[in-house]
Amino acid sequence: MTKLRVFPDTGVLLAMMVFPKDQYGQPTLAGEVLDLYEEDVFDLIFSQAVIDELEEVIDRDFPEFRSQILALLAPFKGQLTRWPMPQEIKAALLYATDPDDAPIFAAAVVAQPDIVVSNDFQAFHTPRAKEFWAQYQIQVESLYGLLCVFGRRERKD
Amino acid sequence: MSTLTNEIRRITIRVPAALHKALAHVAIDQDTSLNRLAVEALEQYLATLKGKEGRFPLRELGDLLTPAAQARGLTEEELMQHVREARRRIWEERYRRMVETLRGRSAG
Repeated sequence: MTKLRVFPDTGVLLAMMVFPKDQYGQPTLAGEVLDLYEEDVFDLIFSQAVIDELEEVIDRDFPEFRSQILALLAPFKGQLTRWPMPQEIKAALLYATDPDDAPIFAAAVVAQPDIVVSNDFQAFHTPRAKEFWAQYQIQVESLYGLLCVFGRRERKD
Repeated sequence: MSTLTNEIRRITIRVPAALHKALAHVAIDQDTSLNRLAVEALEQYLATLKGKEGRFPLRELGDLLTPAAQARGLTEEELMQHVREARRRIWEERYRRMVETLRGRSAG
């Protein structure tokens, strides 16, 4: 069976890495999604755009680990999907509440995932944003929603 | 059985008696030989390793970053805010002018 291709927003990616457990040592939603990824339940697709944002945050918050992190990521450079072209970003601009998000919207489209996962509800889950994802037959989910997709949670609505 | 090549090499391994007994039972249940069962298990193990090699080392990255974030008292909300700021910097440096030029061209 073909595995679903999931595109993580940079925030989700960081939450999976840095906050997989809560203060009581219990798995967070991001931690549960990380477990599913490690169980090979789905594939994550990474964009150069997301990795560039990740590197900026590393430079700011964890500069002492920069070289180690770059070394860990180096073997995967060839798997990254490309930065979007200006025309692709322009198309996304119409649907992004904040224009800063347009490059990430466009980067997700370039990656051609089945699902975009983001917990940024004011950017990725607005009615306009959902129109955008629908144009490309991309499903947009929160971390909770992604767990629902894989039967680990039940939809609340 | 899908062997990696047709050439056969011999390896001799020592296993605990209990493991040997359990494997022998499985081989009987599956109507196969102990040798074939071992080869299939080794092939599956290699395939698993290969699969893991292709996956991003998120856990390893987290092992570095989580203690550092805890030591600094960095919250998830703060980190998300830093992502937004990084996004804005990248957008301004890399794309704003290009997209505005494009927008101007199509309007004119």
